[in-house]
Amino acid sequence: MTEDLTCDQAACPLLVDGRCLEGIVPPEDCPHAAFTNDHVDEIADPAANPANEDSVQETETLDLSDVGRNSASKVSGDKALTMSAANDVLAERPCVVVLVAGEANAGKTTLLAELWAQFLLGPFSGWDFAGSLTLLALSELQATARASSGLLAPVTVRTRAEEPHLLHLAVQSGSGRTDLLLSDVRGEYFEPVLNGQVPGDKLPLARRADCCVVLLSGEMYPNRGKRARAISRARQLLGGLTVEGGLRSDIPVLLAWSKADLIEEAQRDEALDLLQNLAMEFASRVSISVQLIGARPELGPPIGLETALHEFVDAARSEPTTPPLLMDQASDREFWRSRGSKAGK
Amino acid sequence: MSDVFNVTMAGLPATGKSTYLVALYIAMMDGKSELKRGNFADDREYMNDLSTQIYDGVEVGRTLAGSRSSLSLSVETPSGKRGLLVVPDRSGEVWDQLVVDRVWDESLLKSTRESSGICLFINAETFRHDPDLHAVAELDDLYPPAGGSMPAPAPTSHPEQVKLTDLIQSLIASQPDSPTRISVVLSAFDSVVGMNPGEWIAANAPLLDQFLRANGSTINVALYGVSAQGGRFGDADMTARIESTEPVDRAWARDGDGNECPVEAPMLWAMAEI
Repeated sequence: MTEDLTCDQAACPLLVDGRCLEGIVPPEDCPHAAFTNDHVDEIADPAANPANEDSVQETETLDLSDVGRNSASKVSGDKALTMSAANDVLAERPCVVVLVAGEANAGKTTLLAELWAQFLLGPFSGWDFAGSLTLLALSELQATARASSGLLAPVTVRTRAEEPHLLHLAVQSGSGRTDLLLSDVRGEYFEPVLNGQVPGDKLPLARRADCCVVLLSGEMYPNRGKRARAISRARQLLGGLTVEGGLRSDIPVLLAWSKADLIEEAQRDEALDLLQNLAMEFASRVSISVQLIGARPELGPPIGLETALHEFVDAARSEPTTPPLLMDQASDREFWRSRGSKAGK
Repeated sequence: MSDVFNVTMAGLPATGKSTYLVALYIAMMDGKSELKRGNFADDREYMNDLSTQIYDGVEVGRTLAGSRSSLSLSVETPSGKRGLLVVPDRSGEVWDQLVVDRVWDESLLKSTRESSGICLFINAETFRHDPDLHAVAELDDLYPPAGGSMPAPAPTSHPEQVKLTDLIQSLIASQPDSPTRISVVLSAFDSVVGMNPGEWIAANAPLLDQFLRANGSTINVALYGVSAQGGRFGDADMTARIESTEPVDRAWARDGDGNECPVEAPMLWAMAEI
């Protein structure tokens, strides 16, 4: 657990982009700001602060006992899963691991929050909500888009955890149940891949993913320069993710403009064409479909969430495959646990 | 005396758990329940205290946090079993804390594990929705004034249907056997017009509705709508009815489809007696 800076003024963008509403720098000097325990389980860097070593161990131990049936009197469900905890889930039940990739502010967390929030209104696209091992963590993601937040307009709090976390969502249609493990990874996490590093050890989620979504922010689309930059960065991210040691070649990839409501309707076909052209560049490596996603448009219903859900669920129908870079004789459990413990070191 | 029938009553604060318990108690003591009173060698002080309030036409007071009181009554079930029905009357705050603090109170966990079933209470009159901000913006009368001072988001604020679904997940996980028998009791159902309990759940708590339907292999659920008081004390017509009708005759219940059923039906379902 680390301490997190929050503000008692609802309109303050502190939780969104770190700026103080009053313009005070540093923001912690503002009288409205206060430190509280972070709502997301951050793994402290013991190298930077050796005194944190114990607390890191404590977090890991807690995570391992958190999954599935309650152990002792602790109840799970309020935190996203660490990779180690996700590994335990994978050892218990088949899950579709979805890597949601994109730069910072691409709408990754909003996609997850709003996809889940559709079930608050009723069955979604033929699927029922069947349970979640991270129910309150999912709810927390969407808390700043609900009336009880006291906010005037919905916002998404930026993902702060340094290490990847996963959210669990089980859906059911008829007698068919699918468990999804959706990554909640901050945009900065993809920087090394964007900059040319092989995902391998840097992004172990990539080679275990059963499905991948790559998001480009539709906010960039109206400005030609920003649009070109977004496409260039997406090209580099896709290229990096699809090299040896990255995404498996047989998994579906969804390439999408997020915040699609910010793209004028007359330009949406052109926007999709641009994505299609980009997808063609990688057609020999992975199967890519393109899509517009507006998870939380200001007006009207969400755009593209049904397609996204179907893409995720359909990935479960593929034959199970062993991650190509799985360590010798290591089970999924050991693979994920080793990634988790490395992350804490 | 042989068996002990343990039933867990769960629900967030002010969801009518104690009031239902009193209505059940009065029906049993008056001999108007399929769950029959056994002998008189049991501890009835707590329930007698509570039932006095209903007889006097006042609402049953909230169970205090930390209270360990129980209904503990000698009974004979419809199938002829005799034993002691034990239903701890824990405050709603205890269940709320389970959702918020993520730690089981040890005694609560123990009694829940020993239960044959669970009655989960939802107050149909005070159930709180938490719409998304865009939906609120479409309702001018609910939209907060622009520029107004707004409280900071509460870190533990979750929609009631999310809390209830989370609570059921925790209850199921605590049970040694599967499937878990759960009766979902919509209290103050006299406040609901034009919907049966099944329709009410689907319309007001769709997440919970989906969860219950999707988990038929682990949850054996029945829905009920109950009016334990028969109306709201203080209403004009209720005042007249208090004068003319006994409490046992004012209380009523409906099953999930809206059909009349005995007030004790939710308890019998949790006891696997129906």
